[in-house]
Amino acid sequence: MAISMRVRLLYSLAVLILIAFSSFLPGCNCENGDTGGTKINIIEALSSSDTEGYSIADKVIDFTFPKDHGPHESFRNEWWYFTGNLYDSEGNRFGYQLTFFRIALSPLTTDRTSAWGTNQIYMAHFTLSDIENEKFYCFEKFNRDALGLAGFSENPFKMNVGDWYMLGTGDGDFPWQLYASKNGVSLSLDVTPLKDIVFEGDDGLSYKSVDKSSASYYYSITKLATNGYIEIDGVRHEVSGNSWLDREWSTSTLNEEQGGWDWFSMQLNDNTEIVYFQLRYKDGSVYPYNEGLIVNDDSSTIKLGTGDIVLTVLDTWKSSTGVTYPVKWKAEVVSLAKTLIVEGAFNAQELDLSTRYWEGAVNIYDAQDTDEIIGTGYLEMTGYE
Amino acid sequence: MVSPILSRSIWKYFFKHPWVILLSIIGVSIGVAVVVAIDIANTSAQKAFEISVENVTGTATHQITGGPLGMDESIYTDFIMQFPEIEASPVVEGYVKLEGETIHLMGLDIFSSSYMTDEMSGTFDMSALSLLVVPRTVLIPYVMADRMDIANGDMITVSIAGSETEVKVIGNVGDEDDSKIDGLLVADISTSQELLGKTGVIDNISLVITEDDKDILTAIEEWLPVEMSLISTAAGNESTLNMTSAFRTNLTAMSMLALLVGMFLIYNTMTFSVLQRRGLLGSLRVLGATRREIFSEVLIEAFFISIIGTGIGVILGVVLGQGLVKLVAGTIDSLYFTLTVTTFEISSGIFIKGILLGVVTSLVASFIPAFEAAASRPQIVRFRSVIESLAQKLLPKITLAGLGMIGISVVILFLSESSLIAGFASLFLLVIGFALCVPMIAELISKYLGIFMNKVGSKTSVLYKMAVTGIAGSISRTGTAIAAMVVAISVVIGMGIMIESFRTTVQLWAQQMIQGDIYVNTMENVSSTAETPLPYELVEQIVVLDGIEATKGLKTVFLVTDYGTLEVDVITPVEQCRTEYQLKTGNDIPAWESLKNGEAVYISEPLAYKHNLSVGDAITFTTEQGKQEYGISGIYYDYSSDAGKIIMAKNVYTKYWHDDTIASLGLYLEDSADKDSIITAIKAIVADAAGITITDSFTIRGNVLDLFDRTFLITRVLEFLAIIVAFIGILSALMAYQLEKIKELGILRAAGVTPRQIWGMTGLQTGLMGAISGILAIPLGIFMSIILIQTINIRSFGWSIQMSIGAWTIIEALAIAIVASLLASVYPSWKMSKTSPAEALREE
Repeated sequence: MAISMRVRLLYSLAVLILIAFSSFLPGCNCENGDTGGTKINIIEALSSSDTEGYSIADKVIDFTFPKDHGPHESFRNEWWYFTGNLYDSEGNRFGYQLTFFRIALSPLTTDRTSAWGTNQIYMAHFTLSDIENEKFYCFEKFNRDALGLAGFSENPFKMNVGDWYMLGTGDGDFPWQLYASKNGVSLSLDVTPLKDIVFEGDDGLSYKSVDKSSASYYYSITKLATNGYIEIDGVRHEVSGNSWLDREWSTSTLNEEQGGWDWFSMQLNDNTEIVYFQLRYKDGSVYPYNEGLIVNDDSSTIKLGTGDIVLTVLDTWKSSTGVTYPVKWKAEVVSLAKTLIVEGAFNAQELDLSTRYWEGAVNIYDAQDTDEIIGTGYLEMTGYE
Repeated sequence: MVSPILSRSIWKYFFKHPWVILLSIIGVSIGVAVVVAIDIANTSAQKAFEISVENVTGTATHQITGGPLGMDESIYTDFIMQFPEIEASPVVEGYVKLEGETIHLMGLDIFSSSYMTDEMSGTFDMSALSLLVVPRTVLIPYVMADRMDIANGDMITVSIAGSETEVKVIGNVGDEDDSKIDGLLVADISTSQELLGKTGVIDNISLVITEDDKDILTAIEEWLPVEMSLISTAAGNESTLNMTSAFRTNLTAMSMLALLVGMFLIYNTMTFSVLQRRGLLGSLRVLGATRREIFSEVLIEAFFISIIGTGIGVILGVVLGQGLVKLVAGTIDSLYFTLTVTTFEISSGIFIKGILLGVVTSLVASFIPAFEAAASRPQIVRFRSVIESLAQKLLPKITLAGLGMIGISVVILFLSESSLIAGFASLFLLVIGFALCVPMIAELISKYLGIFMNKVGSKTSVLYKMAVTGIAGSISRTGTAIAAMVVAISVVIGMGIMIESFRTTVQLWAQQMIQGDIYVNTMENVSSTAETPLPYELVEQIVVLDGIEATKGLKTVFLVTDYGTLEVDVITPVEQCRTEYQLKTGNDIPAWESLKNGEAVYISEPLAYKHNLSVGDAITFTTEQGKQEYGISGIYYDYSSDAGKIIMAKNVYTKYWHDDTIASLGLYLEDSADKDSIITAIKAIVADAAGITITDSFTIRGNVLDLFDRTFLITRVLEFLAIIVAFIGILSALMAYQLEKIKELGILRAAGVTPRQIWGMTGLQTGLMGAISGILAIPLGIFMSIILIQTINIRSFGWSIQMSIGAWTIIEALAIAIVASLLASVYPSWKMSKTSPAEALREE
């Protein structure tokens, strides 16, 4: 799912940094359309299937926490993916994304006398969606796992890329603090789980293809109570709401036929969450492998597989970058006999960073009654050109 | 307009007298060539300099610098956490040798871009990724890869502080055809630290602060640890670039001096080429050619000559310039800054300047002769006596003007305080003023010599007396020629004395400065802020050897002071080296005591001159423990740097900069000690340690002079060019003069004078003119050298130079004058002696 696509995303990003890093480093204010530099095709740029020397996600493991909240450096890629919908005291809604990516540039750590020598680099993406004003802000940062510039420490439990960080209590207890700031846009949140950790695929071993030839380790916390503040142009909003954490690490990559994906995370007002992804072939048609979960009120889960949710595009939006994204979907959840409408809270939530994708806050409606929002969530769409 | 017939008759003259046209063309082309060549050399060297400086600082607007050994790398993390919105990148850099070239090894953090120059951003190869993970990998600019035939994947051997090591080239940097990125290896900061032995340390943090945001700058200043400084790179680069401005002004002025000689040359040849045709032009006037026609004809003719001459001159200048670029770059390299790039810059501006100089100078120079040719009434123009009597009337006025110019020159010299341009203005006025006085002096010499010959001479000497007084008789011609020659020779003398004085001064200084018997040094400097240290264990073994009376440790570092970043020689102040520093001001013994006790520092003469510092003033250093002020107890002579230097006692440096290393060791031996056996013992200790040299004082002194000669090679070349210009000037001036007199000699031949006597007469006359020029050039040359040494040099570099007038310089100049003049008489004499008197007369 998003998993392996994200693997590719990461890889291509890593390459990108070096192709044109200088123009991307300052980050861009998507609202101002301040982009620049050349983009690369994520899928094409990714070709490395050389996994030799890395650990491979090929068997079910026993997860232990808080240890597994930390990085797994012998795997090529890993991320900590926070998204959420927040409200200020006046009821204004904001969406956010804060993601820390870890990338191993080589499977081996070389013995270096210089502290700068490392095989691990980190990247972070930070977005804020001002839904009332339909303004979208996005930024990115890179650094190496050296000298505290980026990386992870066990105690205190902390991960950072520059001054952006995720900080736990002690060795990983909640609440975790999230912090990011750039060009007058800031975010400082405390997140505390409202649901247990849930494991995707086979007890956290999540496959990516029909023949189960590649997989990742994947767990989520689908609902975290979130409190703190955000700041836009120096104006501070005390906010609260719900977040979603996706954790995943792997080495294997997408297969060569796949061209992109659509990933849905839905937090419904009835205290159930649904995660589901759809892979696409390069020609845009649907790839016949899906995974997902329904997380019940009591954190029990229902596994979703291929065909368990039928997705139909209802509307598209063309970005100023020229890319058309399907921003309104119909999702028929077969097992629940329910049809949901998933629609971007507003259209312009495209991250025009070193790689280009759409990831934004969404509204969820019951197809029977589209007047009332029955949930919110996040939608990620990649591979569109 | 000029009628075709008129033109044809005049051009026909040139075909008959190719020498005239040839000499004119040579005169123009050499003058232009020298100016163009110097211009090219200057521009190219400056361009290379700018690029090298920019390659070091990149697009950074500011830098955070620490001590000479850099700063703890953790400061970078602290900084970006404190100031996340500022583009900041750590830099670990140094110099390495690759195939004998000095290469800038740039260690950068690929995640922070500000260090990269514009040319480089966005052009990284994907392989750059490996820089981070694979040790000892580098990127190389395309041009350099091409030039050195290095392919991606190649292992290359670089020498770092004398030891060789292999690195792998894994990609390219820059645009494929961008020649500006050269002399550079780009590595990840980790590789750079490991190769340069700078683990744990970064050299500086480059910042890009887009708008000159005072608040941010103040915030950074306040946050910075005491041992660090925030420096504007723009200001830093500018002052680095300004370092060479005096040097370049000097070169330009020297080339102008060459042009000045060239101008005299052109004027002289043009005058003769016109006057020689007095008869022809007069006849044409009689035949109905108008004044305007004659005037424009002469100018057109001058124009064509100047175009041909300038064309040749420009081509010659480009060729010469290519050679000079290396010399100028070499000087900048050894005096100012390590150049990692060589460029060859030819701008249209240089050509335009060269062409204008050549053409305009020629036209101006021929304006007077053209006017003279056209203005006179037809019948009169043919009589030279008319012109001569006019010249006689003008002579006092010209002399007076000359004296006036000399007076103004002196006034400017004394009134202008430190302006270099005023110094040169004064120099040029002196030369021109003196040149204007020359005809009068020459006339007097000729007259009185004639009178003298009358008294003592026999009858056979009548012809020779004629030759001598002929100089005064045709002063309108001989005066210009002699003046041109005086200028040419005086430039040779002036420059010769200056270089010789400078060299002698440096030689004496080196003698004084280098009193130790044996020196152990590190060879190649890796860092631009501190010399490579000698391994401590080697030093320990060497200093305890038998026969050593005292040892002086020395290390040159760059420290941040309130006068900018300055070069500091850190020394262990043993008594033996007290007299090595010759003080210009400051009392020797108490000054040394306060230096030794760490209370004060010495500063070099150029530094004192530049900042108007004297004994008793103070300099503030940014040390690891904050700002520290030191008094100046002495100002010492130093010719190794025109930016200025400081001498500091090692205990002070070690205490405040936490660096206990030395980069060279001077050994003072006991009288009874055997130098050779000690050298052998040291060699055994040093054994395989790479990059260490053992030299005795004789060699070092020799090296100092070698360096001097290398540095001033460009000046030598200019002197040589001046000699060539002078030689050709004399040759052409005298030859033209004698050719003009061929008719006169024809009459003498008809009157029975033998060819042998003609040879004698011509030889005597030109030889005398050469001698007069040579003798008159001596005082002018000496005055010129005084201005060069006492004014120009001090205003440019702040060096005191002891004037030493070598006899050889003057003999050389006289020899040039006399040989050139005798040579000049050969062709006219030969021609005359081969011509029958009848034929000579027929020409009339």
